[in-house]
Amino acid sequence: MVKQKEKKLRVGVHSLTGCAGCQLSIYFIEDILLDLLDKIELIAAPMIKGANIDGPYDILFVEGSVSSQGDLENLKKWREEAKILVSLGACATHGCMQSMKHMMDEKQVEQTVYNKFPSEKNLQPITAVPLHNYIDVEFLIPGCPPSKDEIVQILKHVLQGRILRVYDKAVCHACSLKENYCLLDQGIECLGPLCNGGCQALCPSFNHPCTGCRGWLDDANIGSGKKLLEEKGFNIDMLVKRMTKYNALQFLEHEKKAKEK
Amino acid sequence: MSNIELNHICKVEGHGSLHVEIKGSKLVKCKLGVVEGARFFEGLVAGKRYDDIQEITSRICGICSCAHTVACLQAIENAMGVKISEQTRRLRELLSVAERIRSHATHLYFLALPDYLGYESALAMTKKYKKEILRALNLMKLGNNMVQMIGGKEMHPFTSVVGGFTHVPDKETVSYLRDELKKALVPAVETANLFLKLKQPKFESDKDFVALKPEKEAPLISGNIISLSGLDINPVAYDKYLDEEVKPYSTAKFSKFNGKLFNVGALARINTSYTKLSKKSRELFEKAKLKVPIMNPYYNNVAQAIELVHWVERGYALLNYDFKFEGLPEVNVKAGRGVSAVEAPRGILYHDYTINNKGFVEKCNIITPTAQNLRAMEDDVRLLIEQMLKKKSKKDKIILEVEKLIRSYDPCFSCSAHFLKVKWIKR
Repeated sequence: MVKQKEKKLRVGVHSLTGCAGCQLSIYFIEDILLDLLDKIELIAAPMIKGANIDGPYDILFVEGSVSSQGDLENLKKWREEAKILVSLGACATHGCMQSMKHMMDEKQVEQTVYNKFPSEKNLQPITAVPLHNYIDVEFLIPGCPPSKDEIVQILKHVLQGRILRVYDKAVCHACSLKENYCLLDQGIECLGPLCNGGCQALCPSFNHPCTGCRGWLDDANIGSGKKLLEEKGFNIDMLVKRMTKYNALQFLEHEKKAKEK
Repeated sequence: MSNIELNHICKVEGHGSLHVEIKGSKLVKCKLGVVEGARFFEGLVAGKRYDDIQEITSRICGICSCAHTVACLQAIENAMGVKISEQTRRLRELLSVAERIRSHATHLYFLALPDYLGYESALAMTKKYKKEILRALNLMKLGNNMVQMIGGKEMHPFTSVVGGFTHVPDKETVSYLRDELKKALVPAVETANLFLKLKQPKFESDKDFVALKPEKEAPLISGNIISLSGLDINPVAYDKYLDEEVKPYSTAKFSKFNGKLFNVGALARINTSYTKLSKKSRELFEKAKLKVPIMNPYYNNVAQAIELVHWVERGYALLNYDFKFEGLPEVNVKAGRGVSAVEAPRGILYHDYTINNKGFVEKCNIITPTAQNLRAMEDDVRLLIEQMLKKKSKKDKIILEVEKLIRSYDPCFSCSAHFLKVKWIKR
């Protein structure tokens, strides 16, 4: 059989505003990193490559949230160059910590840090939003940091031309299967019932409450969730602050919908 | 010299920019800035309760989330007068050691080494240097496994909370990690030997070096702040010595320490407390005929490689302990101000919180290592370009050397908020 020269998948990894941890999660796939890189052509990844070229990309991973004018310009350019654009990690999928600013007095938050903000135009802040607020994205890999398994899975699926099934069960699902002693029953403010799983209930398995790094379930009944937690004696103001660490925008949307009903 | 504009300095963590203007063969402007979007962490934690802060401030940085975690928790504990157990301290030291092994291995092999060997990236080196790349991946995996098994996940560990840990590693895990650390001594020594053999550019600059003072061993998560110039102060007084300035082209602030240009990081740690390194790492250093203080910033790479040996040994020793779950910590809320200074992989990291009597944060100040190094880095770049212009070096060569210099600082621009596009303008 004559071996056909494969056309390798052209892959890119870019970042907006974040902690670079999601991108590191790709390079931390230590065991099969070299095999994986052999199957693809990594054409741009400025954090670990000196020679980076512009698209077109078959698949482009973008980490970070849109948080400055410069971010927005880059994102729009990348969208045009990418066939499949993947929002990688909580900043890109939900806005993460920096999006808490939506729940606060934004000017006051800014002034706490900078008595005089740098004046250059591309540095001007945009209060952090996920990528899909400005562009269409094909896939979202939530999590802070995202799971390495999921990154590998998505690459494998694209390499094989298959569609990836999105995980849509609550954190509690895996937590019960692991037979963990429920943290809520122990009087600990766990958000597991309202939040997207796929993390194998990592935090609750280590006696730490879920705080929602993979976002709210699409059909999460946040209103009744809040009520239940309040009945259990948890301080609601405190809980809202905890509920909006990663997903302030999703929370505000849910609240708005609830009001309309 | 023709106009040069590089849009993104690669192989560093985050986004930075360098703007250089040259008139004839004279340098007229050199501005180094961080162009990472601002995230306003110190503003975000205001009004949040003491037990929600670590999770937020850990997100400042993916590569040094353990350092942020430990600094944050210690500062809050100092503010509220919370005492911690010896085991808690030990586990936090282990998180910091694990992170340092992973961070140094990543920086040395993936970001710094390609410059020395003439490749665009470590990935491009895999044909000729597969052994070295696999060595790097092994060391990174070790650090990741340690953080995951102690901290709950590889990044942004969550088991360490105010007052203690929600989970401790069991005996099998501890014994597995000890075996892995024992095995890792060989690749760590190979790394040190590799970097000691690399030819370093001739370049020196006059700066002070600031690091934490070693208590028993090399500094890690506590200690006074000392400088090569002889200062020795309590970390609580840091703000009397450190001044910060905002520049129009950077979301990171620029600092001086006690009125002097200064460096923090692996080289600063070795320059200030070389004798506290492990015997093996000192032997490697001496075999290479190196003497402290080293004033050449490129040697920060060598310092990191030497340190790698020390921290692998230290991690092994720290794991020699009978870890037992002490129950979920219960703490009493108390108002107060607390400061913690720790040695992150890139240098001293300060967290400073004022907590009110309900346990909520009123004020927060965080100063990252890269923000402290930024001014000295800018000054070194200026000096290097001036020297190379005098020698009539070509533009491409200058850019290459400047990037190499900046990378040797191992800057973390996400952390500092806040750094590297090169803009080169000829007037």
